[in-house]
Amino acid sequence: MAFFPCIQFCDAKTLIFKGKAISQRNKNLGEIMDKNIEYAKVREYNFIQLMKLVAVAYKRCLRLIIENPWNTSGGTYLQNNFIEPAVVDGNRMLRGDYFVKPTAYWFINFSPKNGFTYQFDKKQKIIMKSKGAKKAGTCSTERSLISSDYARNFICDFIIGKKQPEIDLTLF
Amino acid sequence: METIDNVYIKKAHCFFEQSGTFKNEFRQLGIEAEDYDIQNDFGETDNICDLFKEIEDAYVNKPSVFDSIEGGRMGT
Repeated sequence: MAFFPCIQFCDAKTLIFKGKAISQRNKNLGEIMDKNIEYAKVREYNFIQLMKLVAVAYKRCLRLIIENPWNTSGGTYLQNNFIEPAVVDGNRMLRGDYFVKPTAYWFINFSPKNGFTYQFDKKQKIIMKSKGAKKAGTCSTERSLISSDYARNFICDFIIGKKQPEIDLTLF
Repeated sequence: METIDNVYIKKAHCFFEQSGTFKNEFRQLGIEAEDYDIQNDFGETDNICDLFKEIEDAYVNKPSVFDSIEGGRMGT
């Protein structure tokens, strides 16, 4: 499983390339373009690494799952420039995570199972209210956090197809 | 070795940040697992390495961590 670094593909970067980010307010067009050229090179590098990872896995017959954020309004770089994901989890809180945070999963060399363990028991965390990263240009640990419940439920639902009746309680 | 519907999972390999969370859950489910990351913030990363470099090396068939990862065997 690869939780591929997502900071270069997130929809916030789109604002930067459009020259509409708050941090660019006091910059002239030349300064914005100079900086955006650097950002474009970094994003291209990350994107190429992602494609190489897929190529390596495919050629070596490795079963690979790639995880990356998804945006319901279609704003991430991968949504518009990459192969289709096998799974989009629109609300991770329903499987026991802290965030809603729509997330896509690409399955290479195998297909996901189709289970659903319902576990809606966490107090919601909001990404924008989470602590920022220690280093600029990286994602903070808190914003990247995945609960162990979600990890377990994801593995059971999509990878090994294991039902968890002790967690997914029903009325009957 | 977990066997579900003829899919054999010998070991799960978890890459990049949050890989530790999934590694631990794989292990709880009885599936051997290890993680790989350039950071070791919690002191639990099994393989501290530059994964981008490992991907580059694997892509051009140089030695890399991918050499120790076995492909899955799909049931018939």
